[in-house]
This record gives sequence, C-alpha cells and structure tokens, in this order.
Amino acid sequence: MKRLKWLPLLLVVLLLCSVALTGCGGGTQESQYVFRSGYMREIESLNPMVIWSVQAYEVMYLTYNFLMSWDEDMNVIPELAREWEVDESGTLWTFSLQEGVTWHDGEPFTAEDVKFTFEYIRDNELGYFYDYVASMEEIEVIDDYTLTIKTDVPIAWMPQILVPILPAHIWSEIDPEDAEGEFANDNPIGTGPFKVVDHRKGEYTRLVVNEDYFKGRPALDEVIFMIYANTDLMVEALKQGELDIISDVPGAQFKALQDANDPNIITLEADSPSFTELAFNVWDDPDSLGNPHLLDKNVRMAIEYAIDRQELIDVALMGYGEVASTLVPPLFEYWHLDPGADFRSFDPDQAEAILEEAGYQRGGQELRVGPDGELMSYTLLIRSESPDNQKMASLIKDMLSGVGIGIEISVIDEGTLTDRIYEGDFDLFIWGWYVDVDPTSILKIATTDEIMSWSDCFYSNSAYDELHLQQQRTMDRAERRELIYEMQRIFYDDAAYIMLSYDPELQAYRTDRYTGWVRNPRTGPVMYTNVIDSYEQLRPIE
Amino acid sequence: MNMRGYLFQKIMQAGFTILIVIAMNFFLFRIMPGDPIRVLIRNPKISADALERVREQFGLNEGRLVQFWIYLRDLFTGDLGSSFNYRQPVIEVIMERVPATILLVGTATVLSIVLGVLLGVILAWKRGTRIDIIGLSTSLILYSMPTFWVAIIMVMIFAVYWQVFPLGGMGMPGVFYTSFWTELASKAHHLFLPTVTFALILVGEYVLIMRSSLLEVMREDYMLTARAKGVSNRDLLRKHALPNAMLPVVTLIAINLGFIVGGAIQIETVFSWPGLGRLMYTALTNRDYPVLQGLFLFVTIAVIAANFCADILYRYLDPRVKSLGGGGVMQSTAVKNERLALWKKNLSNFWSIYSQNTMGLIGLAILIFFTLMAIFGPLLVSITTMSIDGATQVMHPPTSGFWLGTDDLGKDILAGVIIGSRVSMLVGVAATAISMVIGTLIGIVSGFYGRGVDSLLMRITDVFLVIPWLPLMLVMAALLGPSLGNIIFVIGITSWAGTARIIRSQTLSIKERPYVERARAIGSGDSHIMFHHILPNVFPLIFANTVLVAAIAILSETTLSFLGMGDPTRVTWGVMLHFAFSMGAVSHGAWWWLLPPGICVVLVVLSFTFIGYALDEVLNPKLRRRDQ
Repeated sequence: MKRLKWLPLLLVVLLLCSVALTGCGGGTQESQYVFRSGYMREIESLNPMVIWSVQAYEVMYLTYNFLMSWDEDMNVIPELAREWEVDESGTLWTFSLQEGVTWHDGEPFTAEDVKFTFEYIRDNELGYFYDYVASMEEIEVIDDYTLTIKTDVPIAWMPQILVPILPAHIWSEIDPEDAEGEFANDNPIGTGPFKVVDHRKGEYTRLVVNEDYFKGRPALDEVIFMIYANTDLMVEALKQGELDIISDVPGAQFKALQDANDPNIITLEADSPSFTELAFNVWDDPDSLGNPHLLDKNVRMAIEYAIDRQELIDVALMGYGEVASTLVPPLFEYWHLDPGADFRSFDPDQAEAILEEAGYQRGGQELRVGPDGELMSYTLLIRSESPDNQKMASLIKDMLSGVGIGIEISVIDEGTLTDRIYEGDFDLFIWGWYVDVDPTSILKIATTDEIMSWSDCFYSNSAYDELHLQQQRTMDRAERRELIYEMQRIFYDDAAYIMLSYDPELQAYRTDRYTGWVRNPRTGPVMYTNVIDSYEQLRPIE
Repeated sequence: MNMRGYLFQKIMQAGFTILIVIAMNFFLFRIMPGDPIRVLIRNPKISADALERVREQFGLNEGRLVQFWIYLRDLFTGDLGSSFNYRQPVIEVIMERVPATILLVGTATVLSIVLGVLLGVILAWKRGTRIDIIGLSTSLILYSMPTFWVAIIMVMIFAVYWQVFPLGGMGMPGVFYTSFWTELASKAHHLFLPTVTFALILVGEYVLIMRSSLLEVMREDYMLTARAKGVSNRDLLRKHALPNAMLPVVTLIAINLGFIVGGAIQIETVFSWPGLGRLMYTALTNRDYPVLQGLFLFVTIAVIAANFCADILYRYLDPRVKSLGGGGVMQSTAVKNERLALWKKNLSNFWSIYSQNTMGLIGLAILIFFTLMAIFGPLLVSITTMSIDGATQVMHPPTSGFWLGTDDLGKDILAGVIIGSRVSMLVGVAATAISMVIGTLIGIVSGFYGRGVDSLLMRITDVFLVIPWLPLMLVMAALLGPSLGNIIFVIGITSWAGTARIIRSQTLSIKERPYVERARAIGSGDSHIMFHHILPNVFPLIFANTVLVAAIAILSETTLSFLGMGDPTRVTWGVMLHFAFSMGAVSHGAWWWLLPPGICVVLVVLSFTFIGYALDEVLNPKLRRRDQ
C-alpha cells in the first residue's frame, strides 16, 4: 500500500494550485469603468409589462425613458418631453418632445412612439401602467415632436405619466397577449442611458452604456446587477470591493457596517416612501371572518395607545425607522399631514381607560371580556418572509397583554396572507406599502371601491371616498393639498391601520472607485428611487 | 430470467414509478391553500376581463380533472407550462440552469468517489489500526454534518477570513480575460470552494461503503485461495478484491442522486451558484408553482433514470444478480434479515457485546447527554439579553457571563442552544415516530396480505425510495406553510419507505412460522395476527431502524428550518442557524453564533450514527474482530 502515500501530497498540491490561481488576477482586465450593484431578488423579466419587483424596475428605468422625471425636490421636470402645457379646461395637454433622440437600434424617436405606447397599453389594459393611460380619450400627433392628449376629466397628477415609452417599430409587432405573457424582451430597445447585453437569470444582468444617450453619455461603461443568494455574502462582497453598492440592507448588517467605520464605505440611512402598518379587519359584513370586536373603533384606538412604536423601532428595527402616523410618509413633505396633538402616542393607562369605558372588563382574569361576553383574544398574522415583522409581533404581543388583550401570532407566507386578506379571514396583520410620488394611489387603497382589489383592511367611509374623487380633479396644488390633508385626518381618526413606522432605505456604497452620487429626493436613497441620476452622473476617481 | 425480460421488467417498473410521480406532482400542487391567480396577478388593479384572460391562459378556470388531463396532454408534448415569475416556458427556464448544476454536481461526485474509494481501501487494509479509527470517525462525522452548515463554515474561513476564494457565483461578469487559460483559471477558482464542500459531504459515505465492502470481499473464500496461491498483497487487492468491492459503490452513486440533489439546493443557496437548486429555492419563495412542478418532475425522473441505469449496469457487472429486486435495496434487506436472526440469538448477551464497542458507548453517552439537556435544560435557563450600561450588546463575543456570546438581538446564545435542544429533539422524535408507524403498517400489511396489495404498496414504497427527499419536503412544507407541525408531518411522511421494505421482508418470513398457522387455525382474525403475533417479532427490527431514521429526521429539520421552512417563532437549532446566516453572522465573523447550534446537530446525528454503526457490528458477528 505504499503507492497511496502520494495521496495526501496530491491533495496538498491541488489545494496550493487553486490558491495560486488567486494570484492569476494579473491576467484579467476590467473593461474601462464597470459599476456593480448587488441585490438579492432575481430580476423576473425585462418585459416592462410583466415586471413588479424594484430590481426589475431599476433595469427598466435604465433602459427606457418616461416623458418626465423629478428633480431632488420632487418637482416634475422634462425628460423625453421637453415641455408641456394644459388648456383652461384642464383636459387637453400638449407635449413637445426632445428632438434627435434615437432608440438603441438607431431608429429615430418620434411622437408616434408616444402615441403608440399609450394606446397600446390603454387598448389592451396592460400591466401596472394601465391606470396612467386609462383616462386618455384621444391622443393626436401634431408633428414628429408634438402631440396632444385629451383626458375625459381633469387629472390632478398629470403630467406624471409613469409609463416607459416603447418603440412603435418593435412593439407593434408584438401580440398584446404575448406582451403580458411569454414575450421575454431579452434585448430591450429603449432610449435610456444603458442597454442590456447579457441577462442571465439567477446570475447577473449586464448593461453597457448607450453612446448616443440624449442627455449625454454617462461616464460609466457598464452597469452590472449581480445576484447574491444571501445578504451576508453580499455585504461581504461590498467590503471586499467586489461590489460598488448594496441596497435593502437588513438592520443588523447595516449597523455592523456602520460600526466597522470603513473609510471607503458610506452607510446611508435614506428616507424612503415606505411604511409598515398593523392593519385591522374592519369589514362589517356577514362574510367577514374577522373578530367583531375590531369593528369597534374604541378597541382599535386602545390598541394603538397600548403600542410603544419607538420601542418597536429600537428593538425590532435596530433603531432604523421613524414613528409613523398618517398614510403619506413625511418624505413627501408637501403632502404629509402631521396629526400633532391628535396623535395617539404610547399611553397604556389611556388604553385601559378607553376599554373600561367601552365595556371591555377585566373581571379578574388575565384577558378582558367584551360586551358580547367573548374574550379579547385575536390572531396576528405575520409574513414568514420578514424577520423584522416577526420581532415586532412578539413585542406587540407583550405590550397588549399588559392591557388585557391576548394576541396569538401566526406566521404564514406572503401568498397565503394575501389569500386570507382577500377572503376577509384575519383579525390583524403586519405588512407595508411603498408609496408613489403622487399621493393619490396610496390614498386610493382605503377607498370603498378598492375592497376586493387594493384595499387590505376593508375600510369604507363615504366622506373619504368623496374627497378622493375631488382631489383627483382639483388642479390647484394648494387647494388639493387641503383635501389630501383632510383624507389623512379622517383615515387616521378611524384607526383602521395603526401606522407603526416609516421605514428608511438602508444602502451602503463604496466611495473609492466612483464619485458623484445623487440622492433623489434630497433625503432619499442614491439608487432604487424613481430616477437614475446617480447612474448618469457617477464619475470614476482617477 | 434473460436479459431482455429483465430489461422489460425494469422499464415497466421505472415507467410505473414515473406515472405515480406525475400524478403526485399534479395533485400535490393542487392541495395548496389559496388561489395561484393572486401570485400571477400582482396588480390588483387588473380588470375582470383581463383576470379571466389570465385564468384561461393558465387553465385555472377548469375543473381539477380537466386540468389534470390538460396537464398530461401538455406533458407528453414536452410542454411544462409557463413560469408565473419569469413568464417564460418552464422547460426553457429549467434548461438554462442545467449546465451550472451538472458542472458542480459532476465535479464534486467524481472527486468524492475517487477520494472515497481510495480512502476506503486504505482504511479497510489498515483495519483496526489508528489510521482506521481516525478515518472511520472522520467519515462518520462528515456524514453527519448538515450540508449548508459546512458550506457556511467553508465560506467563512476561505472567502471571508482568508479571502483566498471568491464569495460565490460562477464568475465575475464584466471582466475580460487576456487568454483562454486565465478565463479557465478564474472559472476553476470560483468552482473550487463549492466543489470541495460538496465532495466533503459526499465522501464520508463512499469511504464507509468502500471500507465495509472490501472487508466483506476479503473474507471470501476465493481471497483465501488466492492468498494460498501466493498472490502478492498488491495483486490480491487490485485484481481480486477491488473489482468485486467496487460493486456497491455503483449502486450507491445512483441511490445517492436524491441526496445529491438535496445537497445541491443547499450548496447553491450558500454559494449563490446559478443552478437548479437555486432555481428551486427562488421558485419556492416566489410561489412559482409551474417551475416547482417542472423542476420536481425533472429531478425525480433524472433520479429514476439513474437508478434504472445503475440496475442495468449492476447486472452487467455482477452476473450473480438475477433476483427480481436486483438492486441494492433488496440486497441490503436480505443482509439485514440475516443479521436480525443472529441478533436474536445474541439478544441475551446483547449488552455485554454492545458495551465492548467504544463507538457505541460514545454514541450512547452523547445521546443521553442531549436527551437530559432537552428534558431538563429549558427548566434551568431562560434566554436573557445582555446589556452594558443600558445598551443592548448585539453579536457580542463570548464573555464570562455569556459563555457563547449574543445574537443580533443581544440574546444569550448558550440559553438558545439549550432551549432549542428540546424542540429540535422533539421534532426528531415525533417525525421518527410517524415514519415508523407508517413504515411498519405498510410493511406488515404488505407482507401479510401479499399479492395485489403487496405489489401495489411496494410500488408506492419504491416511489418514495427514489424520490429526492429534500425537494419533496421543501415543496410540501412550502405548500402547507411554515410550522413545526408541518415539518414533523413532512419529514415523517417522506422517510418511511426504507422501514416498510425491511418490515415487509421480515413479515414474509414470520407469517410462514408455525405459530402463525396455529393462530389462524384457532380462528384469529387478520388484525389480531398482525398486531399480536407479527408485530412483536418485527419489533427489534423497528428499533434498529429507528436509529437511522432519527438521524435523518434531525438533519432534515435543521435543513428545512435553515431554508426558511421552519416556524420562526420557535427556537430550534435549525431556526437559530437560519437567523445567524440571514442576520449577518458570517460577515460579522460571529463564529460563536454559527458554530454551537451546528455542532449540537452534528453531535446528535453522530450519536445516532455511532449507535447504528455499533448495532451493526453487534448484530453482524461476521464483522466482529477475531480477537473478540
């Protein structure tokens, strides 16, 4: 058996060889300026009509342009549309388009493309974008670079049409069924600053610069989105310089990065348009499977008083968050309403007083008994996808038991939770929303019409519904703001949601390779926002 | 039976198994709660018309049987449907990922077989020496480790601490290589760590099988004859022993394929490797049922095909195999039966033999330790939070008060490990119990009634034997939702097949015994005979098998919890590891959080393996050393 003595030797040699391969880095070359962004969720598709994740949207923003964009103060600014005006009726819009813009394949961009895009989406009711074009009655091309759009009623959020402009010469060939079906769009042709050259699902998506970009060629040569199967290794890749930015960093890793104090890494706790809420089932209907106690506003208010939001944020979110109150996050400074003195801040005594008053008695037991003789005991549904929400739930359970309310926590996946919400089969759950730049859509989720659609708490209030219609048609910004304030006030007052926290977007990026990061809005993140300023303006550090 | 008849029969069997898998695959995905349309349409704004259109497009508005018919029809035309998530044909989505997985699994398998055979030969040759003992225990330890855990440790050491290997992925996009060789070097560099990790996991079993196979062969008469003829040691090994001893390895490769698939899911998840395992994990989290369904079918058929090939190859390599069952499963059953008979003879002095086995004693000691910990531990400790000057100390290294440091919430890890032991062990025990009950029932009924009942039940058992268990468990756990009860159920329901096989063959021989005849003669009913006469006699066998299933159950719980299928509100070792990995223990270098729960799992699994191994040596006197 002497012959086998070489075996350990062989192993050592093999190992050494592989380690030596690290030294082979000298044989590789970076293409000029490659920017790498790490993320966790796979980009599901390059076809704008079927995408839904933030990551897929980011690629869409880089490849396609909209008619307009926003500056750092969230004012609407020109993009593919150079300027626009609206007539006195508030329904006829005239857009003048940029001249000399070409598609990635060299074809010229004209008003026909815009008309085609809006009509294609309107007539076939495609994707998320349908809402933005649904009220366009007539679209008319005046000349190559001018078009008019007539809407059925005045629309307050115009001209913020969040629709990527598609090339007519390509999409007119695509069967609308396919557009929402199996059309992969693997080589998206847009007008954006970057074009996709290599899309490997589960691995990476590689984009190269559009030399003819109409706003000027960006300094970056390539942008690569790299998928990591787990956050921890993604964080490590940033530290080792494999990545230039990571976003959506969990609190624990973010804090560790902050504490590490690497001079080349900036940790950014940016305001974001998202919040986390505790929603009640307020569906007053025989079909509702929710606990009837929760239809009583007193109970909902008492629960709100009994919850210490700051404690939730400090413990479950590692301090990254802001105590929340109304539906429109303070990031949207202009629209956000601060309830001020009406705010129900942590006050367990007040909670107990309200419950006593409303006939929920302690009767010497641990849990209170309602006027109907039933125990105050409810099920709180939590998403298995969110460890943060799970931590929040166990804290809330402790807080509520202090005032005599029992909580049973049940962890289920997002899909199941969605199903149960639609069936009205829940008492409470914790989830969150991501809010559009214009407040109309987030306010819409609480309207009666949205029950069985966007609404997840079955809230219904006719005064609120009326205000929502009214604000959509009020073209005067200040006047509209009053209406939006009033809506936030009503919804807060009825306490169908307990807004728990306004959540920050936690990003970390390296500063030793590129400079010129742009936060948009001013207190917002540098990437994964509605605009792509950073990609356009990053410059390499020589 | 001639070769053609044998082939025909094997093809029929494989075909039947595939049919059951196809049916199971369909109906499994229809028991899920809720409406897949909600996943499809992430846009609640969609109009009723459009909703109807999508329903029609995915065939969701038909009745179940009609859907099944459409599914079968499409399947035979190679149409696996359209992915909910990617909106692409499932078959394309799957095929895109096949090369990455084949590269990883192929390299790792070859590496582990080569190493396993070599080491197995060395250990067998050096039997009883220190090398043998070290090699044997190392193999058993490797065999007992959760795959994902080893992967994390490897990443932590080589990619994070020493930084000699990349953190994951197959390559660095956006880099140009100056030559083919530098590109190859970069690819190899990325492949190295996942492959070695995978090979480490696999090698233990090959070493063990090779070792014991060679030991058995060396006791054969022809070896003695050869030795008597003066054949040199080298030739004896190379020409006479090795070719025969290699046979079980062939079977093991095929049987192992299901295990390899499970390993690939874990390795690919930790190393961000863009293969089928990652695809499965992504599909699970996105509730992309068509992809899951397609993957499950694809993987299962691959495993069945591999088993089929192994059967044929085995018969070709070893013309002695002429029996119906042919493959390794039947053989090992026969061997076990023989061992059982011997065990019964030795039962009286069982303990005196067992107590001479060091491994068995160590295993027993570890098991008793953890059992006591699970029973009494949670009564003695409570999870406290470490805070200094009012500030919570998160991920703090071990101190005198907190021996194993703290986690991301500043909670005591030692207390977590102790409290977690109870649920982890409980899951193991409960799942094993379910598995044993099902296995025993099916085994006894099948063996007792014989004929149609028997062949039907045994075909179903075969299906469960070949189906890759981790994907099945993952799919079921995902469909049922994350909870402790579901995990127990899923593990129990998928791991009974081996037990059923063994119990069945034992029942077959017991029911021919005179006392069964007598019982029947005095008018005892079937159930009376089964439960009063047969059950007590197969009981020792059940006990011996429990040890093996318990080890699998504990490992499974850890793996499922790690992959996010556990109940996050309950502390178990698997859930602790899940949080450690997702909450930054690796990048933080918090070894005190990653190591202890993993080590506990390894020790418990190892204790079962040691006990099982010792039982084997006790039960099979042929294996006993001559000096005993």
